This record gives sequence, C-alpha cells and structure tokens, in this order.
Amino acid sequence: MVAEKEIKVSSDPKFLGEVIETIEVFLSGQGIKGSIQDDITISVSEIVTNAMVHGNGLDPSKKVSIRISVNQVKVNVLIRDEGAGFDPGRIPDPSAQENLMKTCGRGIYIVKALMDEVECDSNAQGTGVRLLKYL
Amino acid sequence: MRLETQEQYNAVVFTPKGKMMGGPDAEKFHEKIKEYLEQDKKNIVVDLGKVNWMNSSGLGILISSLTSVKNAAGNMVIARPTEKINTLLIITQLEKIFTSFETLDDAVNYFKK
Repeated sequence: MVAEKEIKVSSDPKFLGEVIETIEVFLSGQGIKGSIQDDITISVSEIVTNAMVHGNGLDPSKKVSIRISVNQVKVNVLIRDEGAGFDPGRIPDPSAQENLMKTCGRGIYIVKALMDEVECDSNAQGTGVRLLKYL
Repeated sequence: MRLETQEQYNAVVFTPKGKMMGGPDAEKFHEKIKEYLEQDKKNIVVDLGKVNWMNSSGLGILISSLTSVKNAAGNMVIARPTEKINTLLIITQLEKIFTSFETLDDAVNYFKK
C-alpha cells in the first residue's frame, strides 16, 4: 500500500515551518517517527529552502512542490522548483577548513549524509531533487 | 523556537526550545546575543537540551553567534546537544569549532575558571 501527500507553497521561507509540520503529521500517521522522521524532515527543510532561495530566487509567484510517498520499505520525496536551474557540482565543500565558519552552504551536504539516495535533475525549467530513505 | 536566557554565576545561559531553523529564530537569537555583549556579558552557554530539531540554518545561528561573541573577546560553548544535533555537528565537522559539554553544570563551570 502506498500513501501519498502533495504540498505546494510560494517561495517564502515563512512557509517552511508549516511544510515541516505537515510532513511530520503525515509521516507520524504512517508510523514513521523518531530519528528516521527527523532525517526526512531535516532533509526536506534543506531542499525546500534551497528551492525557495536559490531556485526560485524568493519570487513569491514561483512555487515549490513537495510530493512524498511511503510504502512498507521506503519513503520517497520529490521536491521541484520553477527556477533557472543550478549546477550541484559547483557547491563548495562546507567541511573544508576555510569554509567551517561560514553560516550557510551545508544543506546538500547534510541531506546526502542523512538520506539513503539523493538525485538531482536541474535544467532551465527548474530543479527536481528526489530523496529516498529506506525504513 | 522559544528562547529563554538566564544568568548563572558569570555565564549567560541561552535555552532555545523546539525547532531551530533560521529566519525569525536567527533574528531572535542574534538580538539577545547583541544585548548581552553590549552589557559586557561575554560568557555564553547555549543549552541545546530542549532543541528537538535543527537544520543547517540552526547550525548557522550557532556559528554566527560564536563569531559575534569571539569578535567581542568573549567565548561561547554548547551544552547537552541531542544525539541528532551531535550527528549534524560530526557530519559537518563543526564539532571542531564548538566546545561542547554533556551537562549544563559542566558548561557553566567552564566559565568559573
């Protein structure tokens, strides 16, 4: 059995709290709690923030969509923005000594550590990031 | 995030509660840090024992606070990070820059020296 939830928000970080809360409620309803739930919600918060800020450039007319699905073995999340795309290979290593005191730039790095699979597809129509966590 | 502060001996203990995720949380935190630095209170303990969730923006709050305090010739340590926050500190290698204590008493005592 697959349970699904779709959320669409304007590119304003003030909506991030509501997005995370909605996903927490959805995951709890599927019996996914504790550390696994935190790994997923932290990762979603990172990618949604990137989508709003870097993807959509905080343009409130551009949306970020989040589709989450759960079955017995895994949680899949697809997050899409409507921005101009970016090259994920150009993100500097936040754990390098010269970057340690920087206040941002750790999002993708954290997501790769917390999730089992992360795929990114970026083009001129926007960026899609797929996150997978095995249960 | 809710934020309480309390002076203990010669340290100021910051106690954020709930989710630490940037935006208004960052403004609230930085305003309080600035307020205490202006009063020449430069020994800061951030008690993370009641932070049940943090993302990279939350880590950013801690880093910018540490920078502000050190620029004012003070020091900031963290106390009681949860297992998940410790994991984030290790992943990002920020464990190298934060002095961390398992108990709040140990963190406050650090400034008694």
